Amino acid sequence: MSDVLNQAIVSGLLIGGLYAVMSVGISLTWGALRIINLAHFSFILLGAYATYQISTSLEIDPLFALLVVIPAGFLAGAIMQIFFELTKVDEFQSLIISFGSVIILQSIIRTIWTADFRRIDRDINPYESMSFFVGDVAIQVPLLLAFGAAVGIALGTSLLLSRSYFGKAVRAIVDDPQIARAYGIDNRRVAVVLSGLATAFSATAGVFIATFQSLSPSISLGWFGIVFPVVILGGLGNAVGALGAGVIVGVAAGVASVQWGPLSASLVTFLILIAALLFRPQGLFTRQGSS
Amino acid sequence: MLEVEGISGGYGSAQALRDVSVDVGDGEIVTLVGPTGAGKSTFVNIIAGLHRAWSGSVTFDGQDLTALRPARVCQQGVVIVPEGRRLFADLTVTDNLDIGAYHPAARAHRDDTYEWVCSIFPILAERRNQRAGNLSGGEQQMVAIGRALMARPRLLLLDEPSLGLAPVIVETIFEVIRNINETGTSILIVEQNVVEALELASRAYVLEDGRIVRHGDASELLEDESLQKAYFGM
Repeated sequence: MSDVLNQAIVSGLLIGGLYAVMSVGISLTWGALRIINLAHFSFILLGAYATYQISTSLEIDPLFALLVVIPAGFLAGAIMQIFFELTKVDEFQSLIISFGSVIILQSIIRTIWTADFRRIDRDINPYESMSFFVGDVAIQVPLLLAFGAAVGIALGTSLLLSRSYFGKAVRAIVDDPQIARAYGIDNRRVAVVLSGLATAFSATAGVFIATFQSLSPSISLGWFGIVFPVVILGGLGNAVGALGAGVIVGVAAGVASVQWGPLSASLVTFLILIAALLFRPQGLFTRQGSS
Repeated sequence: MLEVEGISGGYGSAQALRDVSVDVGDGEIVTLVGPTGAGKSTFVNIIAGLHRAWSGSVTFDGQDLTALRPARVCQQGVVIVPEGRRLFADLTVTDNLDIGAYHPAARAHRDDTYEWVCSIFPILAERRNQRAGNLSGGEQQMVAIGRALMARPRLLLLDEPSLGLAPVIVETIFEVIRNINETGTSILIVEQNVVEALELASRAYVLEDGRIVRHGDASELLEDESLQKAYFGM
């Protein structure tokens, strides 16, 4: 039993990294730009399908898809933000509009790739079943890769926001956009770059998903119940928080699955979310007193 | 240096300023005094580009600033210390100062200006890693002025720098403003703290209900009996 539990904890920890990569984009644009962009879910899915297509058509290692998916994701996020800037949407309008775009993009995906399950062939995808053992615990390589990416993204984003002029500009805009503009910060340009970066992260999550999972247009619906708890628990705009929250949700859901069956995973996730909203609505990893 | 000609403006249909003209000479300290609601903040916000005038023009060193975005006004050397300080509360003191030096010309001299600002306000160097929102009112005002200085202004617009501060702190702040002026920066200061402002400035304008009702040498206005009755309660 304890072997099973150890395995659940380690697997949960690793998949928590993937959850973090999936969540960090939404968290950044929600926290810093006050845009709740559900289209991130579509860009995760598009990233996964693009990886499938590139890898299958060119018969290459799926991770090469990162070279296309990251810049394409950046571009898509930048264009979406330009649209949001031009239409001057507020937080809740962005939720509605981007929900519409989720439905449109899902239809487009269904038209291109049909509703059948798609999976990268094992001959070109070495990662799918790759794993190694540490003691009695199996480490799945695709999840380990995603976890590594999550750590890189969380630390990189956090350094970018705290140290660079760009990061200071982002935080200044969050505090007081009018005065930030008065000191020469082009808030639109900063928002477009940040949204591009955030969407590139989301699309990257899709690449990792494609390395170990079958794709169908409807899988993105199941992500809502994971990503939103992670975003809220981690604190809006907090990349390191998203990693911590991803790990908490991953481990809690994994342990619940082996203890009380897979159906209890969501129950436990949402109980944690409700408890957090009651006692620490600003997120588990946000310093007291800062917004 | 700064010529503001016939500015009218307001919010929605409420007119706050009627045909207001003010000028500031090179190296001068000029003050605009008047009661709350006279339109003083609207006036400096228009100069800084934060608010659009309905009519009139703002010229700085021969350059028309009237239609410029606030960032461009800042680059031209006209920098505002806004009413209520409006610091980036979640950012550290240093980060607030860095935002002041955001535009490229200021950023090129960032280290020198930073050292200069810290020599004016030594307390800012001590508090450099603290959240600006956690500082006292006086320290926050120093950060606000320091942030503006980081943009290397030739004309500093100060909107009610004494607001909410203890008299002894106000004295320090005004002393610093005088020192900044002595380094060659022109100052336009908006105040309801009339006596202090008139003692600091060389010339003054009195704004009431959106109109300039008096202007002249600050020392003369300080002696003026009707003004004393209206503002100093003497």
